[in-house]
Amino acid sequence: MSAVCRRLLLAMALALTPLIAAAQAQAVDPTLTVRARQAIRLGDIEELERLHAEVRASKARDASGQLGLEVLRRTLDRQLDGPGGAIEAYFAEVEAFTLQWAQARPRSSLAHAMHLAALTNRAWYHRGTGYANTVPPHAWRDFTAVIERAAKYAAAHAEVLRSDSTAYPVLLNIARASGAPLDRLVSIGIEGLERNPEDHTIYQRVMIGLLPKWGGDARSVERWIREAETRTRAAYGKALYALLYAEAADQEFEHALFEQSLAEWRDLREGFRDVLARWPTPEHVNRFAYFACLARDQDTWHELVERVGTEPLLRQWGSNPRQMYDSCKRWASRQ
Amino acid sequence: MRRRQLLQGSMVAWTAGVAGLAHSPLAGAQAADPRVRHLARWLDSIFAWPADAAASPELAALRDRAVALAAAHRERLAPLLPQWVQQARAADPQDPDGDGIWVRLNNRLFNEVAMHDIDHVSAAVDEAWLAALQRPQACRMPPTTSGWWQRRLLPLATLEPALRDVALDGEARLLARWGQQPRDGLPERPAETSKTLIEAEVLQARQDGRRSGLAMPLAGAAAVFDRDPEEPDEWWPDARCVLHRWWLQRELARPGADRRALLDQYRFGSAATALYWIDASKLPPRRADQARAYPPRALRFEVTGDVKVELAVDREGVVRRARVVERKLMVPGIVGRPVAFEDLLDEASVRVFLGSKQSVPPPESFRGDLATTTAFTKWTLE
Repeated sequence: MSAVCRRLLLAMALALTPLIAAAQAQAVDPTLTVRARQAIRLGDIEELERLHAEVRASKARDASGQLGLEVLRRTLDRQLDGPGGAIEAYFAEVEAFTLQWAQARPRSSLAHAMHLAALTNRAWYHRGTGYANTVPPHAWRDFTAVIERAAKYAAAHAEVLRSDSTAYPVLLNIARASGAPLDRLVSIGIEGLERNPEDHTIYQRVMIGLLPKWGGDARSVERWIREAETRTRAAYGKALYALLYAEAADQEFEHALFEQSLAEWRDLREGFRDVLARWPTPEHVNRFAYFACLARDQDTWHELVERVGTEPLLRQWGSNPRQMYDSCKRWASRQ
Repeated sequence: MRRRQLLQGSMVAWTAGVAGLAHSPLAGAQAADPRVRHLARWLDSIFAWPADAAASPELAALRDRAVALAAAHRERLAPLLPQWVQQARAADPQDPDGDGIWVRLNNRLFNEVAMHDIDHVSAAVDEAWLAALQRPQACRMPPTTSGWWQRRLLPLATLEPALRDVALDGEARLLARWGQQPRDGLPERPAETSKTLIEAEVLQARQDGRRSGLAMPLAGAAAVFDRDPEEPDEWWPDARCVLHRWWLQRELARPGADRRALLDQYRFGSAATALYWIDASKLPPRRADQARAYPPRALRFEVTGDVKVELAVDREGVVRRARVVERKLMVPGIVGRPVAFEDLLDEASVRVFLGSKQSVPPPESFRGDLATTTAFTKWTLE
C-alpha cells in the first residue's frame, strides 16, 4: 500500500471516528430493560426515577428503533400487567404500589403515568379482551367505574402528567376507553408530540384509537398515518408509515390490510426500506417479508427471503403465522 | 421458575458446580472417600460467589469480604468433613455404609445452613441486618447470583461500610458455630413466622380481596396472586426475598414493634430450610383424601416424631381451629434441633384434627363458643 493510500485511509478513519462515537453515544443502554424490570419488581422507586431521568434526557434508540423512554415504559407496562393468570388481588396490589410511588414522588410524570396504567390494567381485567358484545353487563360497569376513576386521577394531576410526553400513551388509552371523540384523541396526541416529537408510541396510540373497532374508520387511520409520516419524514423517511400500518394490521386488519385499509404497498415498501436502513433487525426483516407476500411482490420477497432464513420469526407473520409463512413459500415457488 | 440444585434420589446433582468459585475447591473435593468429596463439593457450591465485572464498588467490596470469610470457613471445615462422615456412619451401626448415609449427610448439611439462617449473634448485628432489609435494593440480585451464601449476603451491599462490617463480623461468628453437635443457644421457633403469616394473609386476600396498607412489590404479588400461585417454599428467586422483606418492613413500621421478635419471625420464615434445596413440585402430591397421609415432603427427608397441636373445639366437640405448638422430631443425621425440618409435619398435623370430632371439654373451659385443648399426633415410618 502506498504512503498516499495509507494517509488517505487514516484520514478517512479519523473523519469517521466522531461519527461512530456519536452513533454509539446514541444507543440505548443495553441494560435498561433488565434494570427497569428489576426495579419495578422490587419496588425500587429511586432506581425507577433514575432510569426515567436518564431516558427522558436522551434521544437514543435501541436496535429496533425504540426510544429509551419507550423501552422503559414498555418494560414497566409489561410488569404492571402481571403474569397471564393474574387475579384481581394482583391488580389491587399494583394499584396500591403505583399510588404509593406517586405520593412519594408527586412531581414524577412516570409515577403518575404508571398509576394510570395500573388503573387501566385493572379496568381491562374486569372487561376482558373480547369484543364488546361478549362482555357481561356487570363487567362493563366495573370497567367503566375504574376508567372513570383513572380519568379523574388524570384530571387531578394534569399539570405533572402533561409536563413531558411520558404519560401521553396512557392518557390516550384512557381517552379511548372513555369513548372520547376521534378529534379529541388526535388533539391529545398532538399535544404529547409537542412535548416530544420523538415519542413514536404516541403516533401508534392515536392510530389505534382511530381504528374501525374503536369507532374510527380506514380514512381517519390513513389521514393520521400520513400526518405522522409528514411530521417525521426529515429524520425517518417513510419509516413511520410502514410501522404504523404494520401496527394497524396487528391490531385489526390482519391479512386483509390491503383490502380493508387504505395502505398502499408502494409506500409501505418504501417505508420498510427506510426502517431497515436504520434498524435492520430480524423482526423488521420478517415483517417486511410478510407484507411483501401479502402484496404478492415477488421481487421484494426474493430480496428478503434469504435474510429471513430457514427459521422465520413467526411473531411477525400475523395470525396463523406458520400457515401464513408456508403459504408464502408455496406461492413464491410457483412463480 | 423451577429452580436450584435438585436432589435426585439420595445423591446431590449439582447444577451450580464449582466453576464460579473465586478460590480453589475445598481440600476434601479431592478426597478418596466419595462421601467426603460430596460434602466438600456441596459446600463449595453454596459458598460460590462468581466475579461480576459489572458489580458496583459496594458489591465488589462485599464480595471481597464474603469470599475471604468463606475461604477461612472452608479451611476450618476441611479436616472436619471425614468426622462428619464417621458420625453419619455411626448413626446406623447395622448398615453404616448403606444408602441411608447419603440422606443423613444431606440432612446435616441442610441443617447447618438453616441454623446459620435463624441464629442470633448480637443486638448490634441484628440492627445492621434490619437496616439492610428495609431497603428495596436488598433484594437486587445480579444475573450471576449463584449460591446460598451470596443470596444471603447481597442485602448487605446497600449498607454503609461500617454497618456492613458489623453484619459481616456477625457472619464470621455464625460460621464458627458450624459443626457443633448439638448446637446450643439457638433462638426458639416463634409460634408464627413471616412465612406462615404471609401465607395466611395471601389466602385471606385471595378470598375476600382485603389487603394491608403497604403495597406488595410486584415480584411478590405476581408469585402469590396468580390463578396457579406458587407455594411459599417455591417463591423464587426475587419473590422470596421481596415477600419476606415486605412483611418485615410493614411490621417494623407498627407502633411498639418488637424488633428482635420480628427479626426472629423473619429469619425462621425466610430461612433456607430443607425444601429450599429440592424441587418440591417433583414430589408426589399429598393425598387430600387421607387426613393421616404421610406428607411427601417429610417423607422425602425421613422426618418422624410427635407434634403437639392446640385445638379450638366448639360445644359439639368439633375442631374449628388448630395450630402446632410443639414438635419433637427425629431426622436422620441430625443431633440436636432439626431446624431445617421443623415445619415439615405442621400442615399435616393440623389437618389430622381440623374438622374432627373430639370429646367436649368441660363447660368452664369455654371462652365464648370455643374451648382450647391440646392433642398429640405421632408420625412414624413403618
